[in-house]
Amino acid sequence: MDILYGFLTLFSDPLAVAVVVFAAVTGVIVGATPGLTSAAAIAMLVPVTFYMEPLHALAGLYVIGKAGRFGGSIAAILFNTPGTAAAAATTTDGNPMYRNGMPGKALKTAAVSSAIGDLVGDILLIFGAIWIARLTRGFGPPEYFAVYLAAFLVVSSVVGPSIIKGIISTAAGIVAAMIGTDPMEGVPRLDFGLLNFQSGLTLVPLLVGMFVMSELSLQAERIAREKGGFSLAAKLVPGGDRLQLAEFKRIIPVILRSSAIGAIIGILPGLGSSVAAFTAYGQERQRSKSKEEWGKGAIEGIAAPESANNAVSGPSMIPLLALGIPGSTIAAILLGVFLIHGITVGPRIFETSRALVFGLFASGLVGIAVYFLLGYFGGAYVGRMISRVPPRLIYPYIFLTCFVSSYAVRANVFDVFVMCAAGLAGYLMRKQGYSTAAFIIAFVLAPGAERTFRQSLVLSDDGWLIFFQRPVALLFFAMAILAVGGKLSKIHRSRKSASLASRQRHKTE
Amino acid sequence: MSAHFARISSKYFRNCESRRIARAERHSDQLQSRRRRQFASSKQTRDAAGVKRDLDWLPSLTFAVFGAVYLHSSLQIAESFSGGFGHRTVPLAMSTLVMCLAGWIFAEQVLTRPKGSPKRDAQDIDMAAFFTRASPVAMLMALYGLCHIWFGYLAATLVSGILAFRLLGNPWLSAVIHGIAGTAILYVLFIRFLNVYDPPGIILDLTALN
Repeated sequence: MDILYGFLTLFSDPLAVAVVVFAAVTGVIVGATPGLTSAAAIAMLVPVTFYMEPLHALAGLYVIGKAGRFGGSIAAILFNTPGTAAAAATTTDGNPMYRNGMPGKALKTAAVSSAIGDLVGDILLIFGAIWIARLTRGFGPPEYFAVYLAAFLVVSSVVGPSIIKGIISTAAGIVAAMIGTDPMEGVPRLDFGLLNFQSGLTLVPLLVGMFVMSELSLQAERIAREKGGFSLAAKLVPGGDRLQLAEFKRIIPVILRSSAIGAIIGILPGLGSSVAAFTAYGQERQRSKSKEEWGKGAIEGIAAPESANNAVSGPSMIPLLALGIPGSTIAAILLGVFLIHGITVGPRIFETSRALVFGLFASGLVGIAVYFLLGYFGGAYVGRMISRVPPRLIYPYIFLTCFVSSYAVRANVFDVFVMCAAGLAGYLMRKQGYSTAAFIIAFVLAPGAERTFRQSLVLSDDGWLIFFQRPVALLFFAMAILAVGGKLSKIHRSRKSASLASRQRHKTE
Repeated sequence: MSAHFARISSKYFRNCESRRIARAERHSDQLQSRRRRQFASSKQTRDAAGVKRDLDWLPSLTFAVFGAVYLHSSLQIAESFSGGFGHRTVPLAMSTLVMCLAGWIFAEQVLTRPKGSPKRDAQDIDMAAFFTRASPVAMLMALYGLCHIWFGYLAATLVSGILAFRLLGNPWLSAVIHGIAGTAILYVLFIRFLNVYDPPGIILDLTALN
C-alpha cells in the first residue's frame, strides 16, 4: 500500500513527473554515448539538484542511473563499444546479432530484459529495504562500525584483480575524507595550514574528476589510437527488427534467473552491475544446451547480462536506505544529495521521510516504463543520432561542464583544481588497476566509520572487546573475512593453474 | 685512339661508380627496411606482451608519496584532549597503510621484476603519449583556474571552451562557435537559473578600486 502512496505523491506533482521523464530520456542518451557513464552524468548534474526540491533531485538522479544502465546496451549492440562497464557483457552477443542484420531484435531484447530485471530489483528494494530497516533499528555504534568495516573490506577485495590495490584505493579515499576539521573535537587536521583545506574536500569535484575527467582522457586516447568515431553499417534481414513471442517465451526464464542473480549481487556493497552482468552471462552460458551459438548473436546472451545489470539498481539502494551506507557509486552520490537536502539516511527514514522515499520508489517504476518505451521503439534512433555526432564535438562540452559543475558546488575555484587533480589521479589509477569506485565509496563512508569507531571506544572506555561482544558486529566481521578469504583463494587458484599451465608448456617444449 | 680509349674507360668507370652507388643505396634501403621490419615486429611483440610500460610505476609512487606526505601531516596533529583514540588515530593508521602498501608495489615494480618482463599487465602507461596528451589538458585546466581568478567565470569558461574544442581537432571557426554556445548555455543554467556566484576576477573587478 505504501507504494500507492508513493505514486500519489509523485503524480500530485506534475513537475516531478516531468523530471522523471526527462531523466529517463537523458539517462538513455548518456548511457548510449560511449565514454559517458550514468555515474559521470549524475556527478555532473549534482550541483544542479542543490536548487531543486528533494523529490525532484533524488528522483531525477536515481532514474538517470537506471536508464543509463539500459542505455549502455545501445552502444554495446550498435557500436561494439559498451556505453557503460555494465554493458560490456552485452557486446559479446549483442553486436554479433546486430552484424547478423537484426539490430531491432537485439535492442528490443535489451529493452525488455532491462525493464524486467529493473522491476524485479525494485520490488526487492520496496519490500526488502523496509524489512532490513526494521532489523537494523537496534544497531549501536559497534554494529555500525562493523558494517562500515565490512563494506571497506568487501569493496577493497572485489573491485579489482588485486586486493592490495583495492586496499590502497580505499585507504587513500579514507585519508582524503579526513582532510579538514575533525567532526567530534573540531580540531583542524591534514590541512597544511591552507584555508581551503580546512573545510575539507567536497564529493562533487572528486567524483567529476575521478569518473568524468579520467574517462574522457581514456576515451580521447582510444579515439586517437583508433582514428575515428562510431559508424553504423549492417544490412537488415527480414524480420530482424521484431522480437517474436516464441523468442520472448524462450528468454523469460533466463531473464528471471539473471534478475535474481543481479538483485542478490546488488545488495552486496561494491560488486556493482558489471559483476552481475558477467556472472549472469557465465551462468546462463553454462546452463545452455546450445553453447556454440553463444558469442555469435544468441538472444539469451543479451537477455542474461541486461536483466542482471539492471536488477542491481534497486537492491543497491537497500544498504543506503536501511543503514545509511551506500553500496555503489550512484548510491554514494545519492547519499550526498540526501544530506544536502537535510535528510538523515538510515533505518528511521521510512518514518521521517515516508512520502519522499516511496515517491522515489514510484519514480523508479515510472522511469523504468519510460526508458522501456523509449528503448523498445526508439533505441535504433538514439543510436543513429549518437553516431552522427562526432566525439570531438561531444567531449569538449562534457569537459566544460566538468569545470563549471565543480566550481558551482561552493562557488570556489579551489574545487576546480581539486577536480583536475582528481582527474589526473583517476586516469593513472584506472590505467594501473586501482579502483576509483573504491576511493569514492571510502571517501563517502569514512566520516561515519570514524565516528562510530570512536563512539564505540568511548562507550567501552577504549576497550577493543566491545566489537567482539556483539553478535551482529561479529556477523559482519565474519562476512568481511569471508569476502577477503574468498578473493585470496581465487587468486591462489588462478596462480596455481597458471603455474601448472606454464610447467606443462615447458615439458612439451 | 687513346682519346677514344680514355673516353670509353672513363664511361666504364663512371658506370661502375654509379652501379656501386646504386648498389650501396639499394643495400642501404634494404638494410633500413629490414631494420624497420625488425623494429615493427619487435614493437608488435612488445605491444602484444604489454612490455612497453614506461610509467607503470607512477601510480604506486604517487600513492606512496601521498601516504608519506599525509603520514607527516598526521604526526603534526596535536594529541587528543581525552587521550586514547582521538582525531589523529585514523589518519595516522590509514596514511601509514597507503605508504607501506604503495611502497611495496612500487618496489616490486621497479626493483624485483626485470625490465621487459611479459608478465606485466596490458594497460601500459606510455610516457610519450602520457605527456603529449596529458600536458595540453593539464595546461588547459591550469588556464581555466588562473583565468577564473584573474578574469572571472565567464571569460575563463569562454577561453577554455574554445581551446577545448581546438584541442580535440575542431577547426577554429567551429571551436569559436561551439565555445560561445557552450559558455552561453552554462552561463544561463548556472549563473542565471541557479544563481551561482559569478566572480568578476581580480583584474576586471572595478569595485576593488573604490
